[in-house]
Amino acid sequence: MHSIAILGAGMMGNVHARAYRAMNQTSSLWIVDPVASRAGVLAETYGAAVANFEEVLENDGIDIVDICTPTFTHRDLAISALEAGKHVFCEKPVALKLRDARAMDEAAGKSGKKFMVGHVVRFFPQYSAVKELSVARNIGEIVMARLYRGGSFPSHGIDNWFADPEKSGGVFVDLSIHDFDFLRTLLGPVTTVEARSSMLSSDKQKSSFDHGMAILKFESGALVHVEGSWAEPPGMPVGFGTFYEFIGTRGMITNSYERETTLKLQTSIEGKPKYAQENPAHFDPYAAELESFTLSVDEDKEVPVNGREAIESLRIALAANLSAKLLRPVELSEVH
Amino acid sequence: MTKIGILGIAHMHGYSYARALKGMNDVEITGLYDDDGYRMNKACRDLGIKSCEDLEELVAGSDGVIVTSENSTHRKFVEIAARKGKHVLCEKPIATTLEDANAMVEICKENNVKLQMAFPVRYSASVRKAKEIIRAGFLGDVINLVGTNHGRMPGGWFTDPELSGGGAVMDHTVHVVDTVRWLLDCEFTTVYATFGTLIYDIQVEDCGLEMFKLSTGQYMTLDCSWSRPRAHPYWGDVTLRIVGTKGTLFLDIFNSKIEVYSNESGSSWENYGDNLDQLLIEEFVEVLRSGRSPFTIGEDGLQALKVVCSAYRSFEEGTETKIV
Ligand SMILES: NC(=O)c1ccc[n+]([C@@H]2O[C@H](COP(=O)([O-])OP(=O)(O)OC[C@H]3O[C@@H](n4cnc5c(N)ncnc54)[C@H](O)[C@@H]3O)[C@@H](O)[C@H]2O)c1
Repeated sequence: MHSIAILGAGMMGNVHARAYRAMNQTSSLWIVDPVASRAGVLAETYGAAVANFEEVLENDGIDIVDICTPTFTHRDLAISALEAGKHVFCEKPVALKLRDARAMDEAAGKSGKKFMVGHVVRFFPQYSAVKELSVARNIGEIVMARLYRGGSFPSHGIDNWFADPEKSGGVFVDLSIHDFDFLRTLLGPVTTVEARSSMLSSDKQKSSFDHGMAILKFESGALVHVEGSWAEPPGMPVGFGTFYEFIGTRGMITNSYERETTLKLQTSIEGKPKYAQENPAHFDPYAAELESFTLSVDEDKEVPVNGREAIESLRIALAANLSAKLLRPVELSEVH
Repeated sequence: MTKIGILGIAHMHGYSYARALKGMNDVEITGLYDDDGYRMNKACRDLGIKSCEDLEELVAGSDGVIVTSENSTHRKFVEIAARKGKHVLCEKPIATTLEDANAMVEICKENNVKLQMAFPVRYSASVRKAKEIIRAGFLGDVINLVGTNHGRMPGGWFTDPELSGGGAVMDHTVHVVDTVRWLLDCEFTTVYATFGTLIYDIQVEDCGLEMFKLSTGQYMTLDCSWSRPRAHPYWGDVTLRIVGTKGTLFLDIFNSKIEVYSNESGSSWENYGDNLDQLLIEEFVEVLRSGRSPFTIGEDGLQALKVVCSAYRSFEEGTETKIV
């Protein structure tokens, strides 16, 4: 039985707490957040104990630290936890700079503890099925793809940290990194990125807004278009969605969040219209992800997404940012 | 009676245009000429129109002509028509080289004939509505655009570089480029293109991705790939997402579909939306009758071809290229 400390009682902290509770009703959970009211609500909802980070580091009973804080804080928190002998799960993106991500991975290596990064898309069933389906249905080698991920701007972030490219990295580093990581697992290494984003390329910028387009070339020869969006206005009926199409030499595989929904609601309560379009499921990819992590700890085996992999996915996102800034194609080897 | 001749039937759109003409009042198809006698006779039988061995005579007896020959032979037919003072509707892309395209625009000007380009997408009601929405400011400042023009690999002469001038990039760049030029009143200024022959064993590229900068400041990507497998229930798509500071707009021009599932013939989608080829042809007939300028002109074809030629240059150089 694990004793788990979650850092950050924001959106992801709550998602993780719920997942841990679904996995195991009795494991001991701790929550750390400088905003006492946030920690309090999470503690109440999921039966966790409130602590501060020093207490967590000193408490030998706590074996896992799960980092759900804003990205710019990941590095220091992860290194301290690893040095204190904790296994660490860290939300994606691992960090904002390769140098920081490497320091985290090195700390993990030195400590001999498990270190996993939350590239959760690998656990979403419509994504994890792609490889298998392409083989089972004889789609052939995947040579081209288009992926979309986006919706309205994540305005829930504390102090609006997503809006600051120095803190979130912008839409490529924070959001499209999901697709970059997934694509690497499917198609192997990327060689060249040509990208533009409104935050980095446009002279008509707007705060709390970003939209990015990236053209990727893979070593395999595959060509891929990735679009990431924080450009939909707030308060829309559908706040977030994904889309993909994978082109094989003998067919294609496609899925769209907008098309494939199982529940639609239109109602009006006291004159207030409400609309929902969802795909609810019992299966929780976040729980599957966290379970794979605790299993790696239990059985002392390699985690599904280690630091080195997270570094490579971050490298693609940073190449996209560099290209968007320099307004020219960037070789992955230019990003150190 | 408006008399229209068809020069070349290599492009399947020629069939669609002929059918549109046949449905119109006071329009006569004077006949079809094709360099390939077998192809000419077959099309004439299929369409129930007259075959003409004598090209000059066919042109002389028509008020205007439709050129749906292979891309690289457009110039030859347009020149013959222009010299005889006949208006022309030319299939896209206008030509395979800028030299040809310039010569075509020039000779039509000199002979005072109208050169209409077959850019049917611009005739779509959704595209017109999109322009009104943008003009009214619903999107705020437009920042980025994301376009696709997917299709099946057409085979035949389309994969012979001598006749087609190139593959997916030549075939599928111009529709969306033309639409965006009109929507935003802009020109395309730079292009970075990457492509490959990734799916089929053919002599031209079947997949391509392009990144553009527009004269009005926006960036745009375009996927021009022949990436729809034969098993797909529909031929392809033309889509465009327009991202502005106040909102986004998504166009999926051919999405008015009826899904058909047949035990015998598999699954297929039928389009029930406006027939854009019909609208294009009605415009041409109107141009012939009124003498006014067409909605999509030779100059538009030339500008779109500049983008294509620059895309090929960008690919060779591996860098972003100015569109000239
Ligand atoms: N995997 C996914 O699908 C997914 C989705 C959203 C966000 N994320 C990632 O998860 C992380 C958190 O994002 P979020 O949306 O939950 O942000 P959030 O702003 O909702 O929550 C962050 C919380 O961390 C707290 N915090 C800040 N510094 C702290 C510290 N030093 N110690 C403890 N708590 C601290 C804040 O008070 C806040 O409550 C980010 O890295 C983000 O990129 C991942």
